[in-house]
Amino acid sequence: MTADVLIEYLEMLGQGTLETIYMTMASALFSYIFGLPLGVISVVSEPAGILPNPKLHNVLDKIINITRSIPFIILLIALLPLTRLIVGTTIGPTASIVPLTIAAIPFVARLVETALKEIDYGIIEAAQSMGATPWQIIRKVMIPETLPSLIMGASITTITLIGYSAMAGVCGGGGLGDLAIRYGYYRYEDDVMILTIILLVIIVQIIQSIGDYLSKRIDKKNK
Amino acid sequence: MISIEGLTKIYRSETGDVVALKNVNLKVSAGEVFGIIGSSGAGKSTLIRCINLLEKPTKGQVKIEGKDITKLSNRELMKLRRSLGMIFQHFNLLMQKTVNENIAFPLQVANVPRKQINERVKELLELVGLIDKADYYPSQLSGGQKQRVAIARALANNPKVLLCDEATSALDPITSKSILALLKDINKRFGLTIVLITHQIEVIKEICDRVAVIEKGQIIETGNVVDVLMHPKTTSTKNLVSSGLIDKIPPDMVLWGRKQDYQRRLKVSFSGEAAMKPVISYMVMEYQVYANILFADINYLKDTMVGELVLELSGERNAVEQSIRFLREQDLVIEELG
Ligand SMILES: Nc1ncnc2c1ncn2[C@@H]1O[C@H](COP(=O)(O)OP(=O)(O)OP(=O)(O)O)[C@@H](O)[C@H]1O
Ligand SMILES: [Mg+2]
Repeated sequence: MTADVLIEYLEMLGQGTLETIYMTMASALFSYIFGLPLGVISVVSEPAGILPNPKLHNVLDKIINITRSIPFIILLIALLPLTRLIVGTTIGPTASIVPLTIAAIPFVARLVETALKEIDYGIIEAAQSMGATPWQIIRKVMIPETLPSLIMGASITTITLIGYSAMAGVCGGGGLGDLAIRYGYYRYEDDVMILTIILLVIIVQIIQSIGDYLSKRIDKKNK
Repeated sequence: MISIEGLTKIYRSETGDVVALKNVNLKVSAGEVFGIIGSSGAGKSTLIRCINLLEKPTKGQVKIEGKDITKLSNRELMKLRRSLGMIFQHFNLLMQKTVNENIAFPLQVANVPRKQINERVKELLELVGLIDKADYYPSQLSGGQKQRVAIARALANNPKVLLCDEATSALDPITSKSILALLKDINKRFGLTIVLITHQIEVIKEICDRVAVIEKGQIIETGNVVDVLMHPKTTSTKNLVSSGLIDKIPPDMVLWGRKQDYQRRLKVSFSGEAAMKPVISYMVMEYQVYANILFADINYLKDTMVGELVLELSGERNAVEQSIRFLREQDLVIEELG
């Protein structure tokens, strides 16, 4: 391998890494913008929740379940028209953000639900007994009290999105997955394949560590 | 202050309905400490939770200062709840917030300006004796300290009523006493009306002015603590109240006495001033009987001294009967034991 080729590969891998991070972060952000409220609404609308609305709860529950059960690779292809409509193209990292976000929304909603349900219901009742409104309870009690779990959920989401983003490479979605498929799979260049794997593992580890650290750091309950 | 009329609460579930409260009527006056006692599952929590509508009554009215609160809109209810503080068995503090922030919470909820919040929190910390713990998190506090924070939090908005749901049940006896002393102090100083529920008779004895006994969702007895405890009308109340000691005196206990003596066994209860008089020694000297004390107990019911005595009188038949008559003439309650 000549120096030129090496530099070219490194540039390529660097770019791939940045694209992966960009796709993942952007879709994590967007999926929380939709998934967080969805999860909150689903929890509070439970029959025993603070704003019971069993009908709404059932509808949300069904939607979340159905969308979660569609395999990502199929969702990716099925969403191509929507992606084109929103981004104008179906290839490249920006285009991948659309299916990634949509796949992650129900996932986030479920993680948010699970986290919020961890709260001791007595704490919510105490807040109610003080005359707190449902909105105050959501904002000042439910979310802050479960923040450590919510943060763990966010790191799980991000890691899952890294996996999905690699899959998006199949459709020319950019990022490290794209490289692995183009060089590792079609051109049998094992070293590129191995390097992408190493890079992905490193990124996942870093995110996991940050998530763990933050979650522990802010948790005042289990100290 | 609080008036509960015809309150019924039915929990409906797939496995069948549970009647938790059946036609409950209660009146709590302003400034008193009112206790509700009953065994597990009697409906105590349900009852106290109906007072601030954490539980919606199935039927009946809950009136606070004459106003039926079951008819309030959500917005009015939230406002009303700020005038009703509540504390819980398991404290229910915000675990991710400091003591300071916990006490500030109800004030933030009520949109009190920040500066006022800080002042009020300081006052409350002083009141409950936790000034030095202001920046601690609940997980760093003992149970008693947590309950103090909860009390401070419940008092933040200057409520008229404090509802206590088994506030001392999770605490050891000594800590429990100190919390009750704090509640007593608050009741005296601010004239705060306190409604508490408990399954521990000690709590009733310690701080309550009046008591209601609840069994299977119904109030079976209400009255002044001294009256209800000294003269329980129902067996359930007797069981709750009895220290258990009297029943444990073995009936065949061999007592000092001469074969030919006439013997009678009595339970003598006294309260208030009567507790101070040397009635028994007077009787012994006057009527020439032997008085054998099998059991004796003196207690405070809040601030009233009360006592119980199981006596065996023996001697000449006439003398014994005269002494009993003498005892009955005093400010005492006499009950013959078989
Ligand atoms: N949410 C609920 N759904 C169905 N049944 C309930 C519910 N809450 C209470 N109950 C039932 O109502 C009855 C009274 O319960 P409650 O909690 O008021 O009793 P309690 O006197 O407070 O008992 P404890 O001393 O054990 O706390 C019980 O039979 C209980 O099983
Ligand atoms: Mg209870």
